[in-house]
Amino acid sequence: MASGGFMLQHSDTEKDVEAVELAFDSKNRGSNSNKWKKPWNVSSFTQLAAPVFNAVNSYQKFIVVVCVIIFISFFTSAPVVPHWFLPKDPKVVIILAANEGGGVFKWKGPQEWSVERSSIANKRDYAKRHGYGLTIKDMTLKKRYSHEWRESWEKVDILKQAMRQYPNSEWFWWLDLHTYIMEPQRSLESQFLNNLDNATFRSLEEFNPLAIPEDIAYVDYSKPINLVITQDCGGFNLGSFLIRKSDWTDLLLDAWWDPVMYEQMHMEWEHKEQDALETLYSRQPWIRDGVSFLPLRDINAFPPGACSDNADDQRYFYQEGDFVINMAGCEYGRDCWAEMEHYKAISKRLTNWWRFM
Amino acid sequence: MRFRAKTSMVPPGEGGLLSTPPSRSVRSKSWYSKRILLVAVVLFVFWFFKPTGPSIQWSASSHQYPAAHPQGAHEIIKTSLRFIYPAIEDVPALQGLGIYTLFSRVGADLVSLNHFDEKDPVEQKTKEETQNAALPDNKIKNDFKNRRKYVYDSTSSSNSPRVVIVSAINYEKYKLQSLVNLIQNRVDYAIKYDYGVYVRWTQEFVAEMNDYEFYTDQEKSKWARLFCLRAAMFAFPHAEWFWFLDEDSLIMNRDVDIAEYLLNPASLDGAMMRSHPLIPPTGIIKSYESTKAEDVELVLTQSRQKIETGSFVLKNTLIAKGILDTWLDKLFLQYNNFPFGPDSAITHILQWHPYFLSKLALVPARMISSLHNPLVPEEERETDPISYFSGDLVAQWIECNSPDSCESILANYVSLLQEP
Repeated sequence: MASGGFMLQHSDTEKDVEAVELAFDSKNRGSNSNKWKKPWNVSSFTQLAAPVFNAVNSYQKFIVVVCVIIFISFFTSAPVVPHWFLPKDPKVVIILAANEGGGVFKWKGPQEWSVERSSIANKRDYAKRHGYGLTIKDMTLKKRYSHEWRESWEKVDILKQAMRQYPNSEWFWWLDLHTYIMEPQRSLESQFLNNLDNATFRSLEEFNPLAIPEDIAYVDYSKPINLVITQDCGGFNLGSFLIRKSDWTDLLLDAWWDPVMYEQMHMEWEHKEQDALETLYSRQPWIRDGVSFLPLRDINAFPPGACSDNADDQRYFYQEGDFVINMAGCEYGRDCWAEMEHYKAISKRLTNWWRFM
Repeated sequence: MRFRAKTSMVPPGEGGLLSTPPSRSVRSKSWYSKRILLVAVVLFVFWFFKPTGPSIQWSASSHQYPAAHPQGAHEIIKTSLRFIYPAIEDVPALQGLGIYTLFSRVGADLVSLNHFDEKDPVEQKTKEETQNAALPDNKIKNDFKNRRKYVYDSTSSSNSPRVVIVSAINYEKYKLQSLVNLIQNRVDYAIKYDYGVYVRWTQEFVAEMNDYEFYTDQEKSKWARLFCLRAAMFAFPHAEWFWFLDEDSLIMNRDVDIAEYLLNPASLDGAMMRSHPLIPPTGIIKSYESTKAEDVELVLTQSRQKIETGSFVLKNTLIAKGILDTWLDKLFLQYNNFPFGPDSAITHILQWHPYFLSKLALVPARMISSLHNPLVPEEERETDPISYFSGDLVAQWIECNSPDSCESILANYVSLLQEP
């Protein structure tokens, strides 16, 4: 919730403030009514407090130092000082991209606000339930990207930013705005994260819609998995993917956009960063060392509107029980709001009490 | 329900609780608790396996992924020799055969003759034996194609050389005796410090470059260095460092151990040129001030004008492989605005990618790549940062432009080495 400029969040905090004020009022009222029932015994209080005051007087400097250390340990993450109460970084952080392509060129209508609100609430509930972190990132068009024609690569900067924000978290789960977690009771760990080697496919032999060469030299599949992605009918899909904090990831995030590569490929890289990753994957063995694939429906199921040319292929489309739906491309001629409401209703219907067991 | 029915069947006249046999009441009690237990177990199993949740996937668990293999071949040949270099005695025969018979074209791509290998290695071996017996040329061809399969047989860093010296040599550039001298020089040095040697013919990378003639072009032929280094990293999986040393160079001072002198973190920390422009003397992008020697993956040197790749060192890590794979990408290889081939490519990469730059150490050229310069007087030994002076580790003559001149410079340095 770090990024500013959200009307939605603004309105939320307003509500919060109101709620806090209400709570405060009721408290006051409560204490007023009890005011004279239990008066302080003044003399016994002074008797008890006197030695404490004396001690404070005689060890002033010592107490100041202790207070400073306690202050530092409670409210900062300064080194050396122990931090018992500082919240630990979560193992998984969800990165939610909002306002994609927005900004001064495009104003949001009420339905878009509604979609955004549903999507954020969904992820917030999910993160809270499983103890994950959530960071919402603003993807409005920015001049510093457009002058290098790399709007899509803003993703890379946001990933780096999130990794700095949560330095001790291990996995970062990127989710586009038009996604909805349909089965919020399931944790990522139980889904696949605790069993990555068996739950994912390291190579393309299972599913290879782009016909990328399956086998290139020097690839070592025994290396740790750092990037978990899915493929749709058009190849790699980065609407929902997981990336692990590591040296490998740092190198990938730096290598992903290169002006010399972009200069030669910009006509072919229609999906920008997705196509660039495909190109790197297709010929650099070290990339394959770290990448693993999940079936699309595991974290990124499509509604019937996406991939509509392959309408009879069961591997792409949402069926009840699938974990996450991604209404990919709904902003191009489809109704995002209607789709969102449709799947929200399904999710609500499916989340019955016996599924919480 | 059955239990209740049973108790109600007891006739009231038989005296109620006291007269019922104790054994019977115990039995029905345990029966009752057994039922509860059964229901609990069923519920637990139901909850544990969550049949309403996602279906359990056991299918992928036993999947075996293929082992890594070298470029242009699917099998490996393990060798216990730390010195992997081609058969020099085959060179006249190779030249006789010509480069066009050593590769084949499949579609648009040039491929190594390994492409036509049998799937089964035993079958392939018998096939090659029959071929070799039939015609001596076949043996030359088969040996040439099999060079890329050689891998040093090591299981951990304890039985692997720490440093591997890598060279790609063009066998048409030097005479037979000179080829012997070049390889012998590297092997002699490696023997002294228990290092490894990995030498390949530049001509072997025709398939990777997809160009029969690439090695006749001075700048294009430099790309073979990177392909050769990548192959060496595969051939010595447990080495710590790879030192690429170009064909136009000799190790002149065998008393200097490169690991102690340059690669130990303490030495490297002292040797690194920090805040030094990547393009001397006034480049805007500079090496980092705060790089730690332990983090360095790539050690490069510069001539007076640019970064050179005639002699450089790469660590053996996944990140170093990532750096090399990026550097080798086809989009850099085919790019028209890189006048110096891989030298331009790495300069570009370091200038645009901060994480790559943070893994770089620039070191003074005379540490590993002193340049041949007969005109420089002995008085400038202390001040000249580039030229070779006696006592330097390496002498290089990468600027020589005709086979004859290269040959004569090499002969000169070989005679210097042989002096007592």
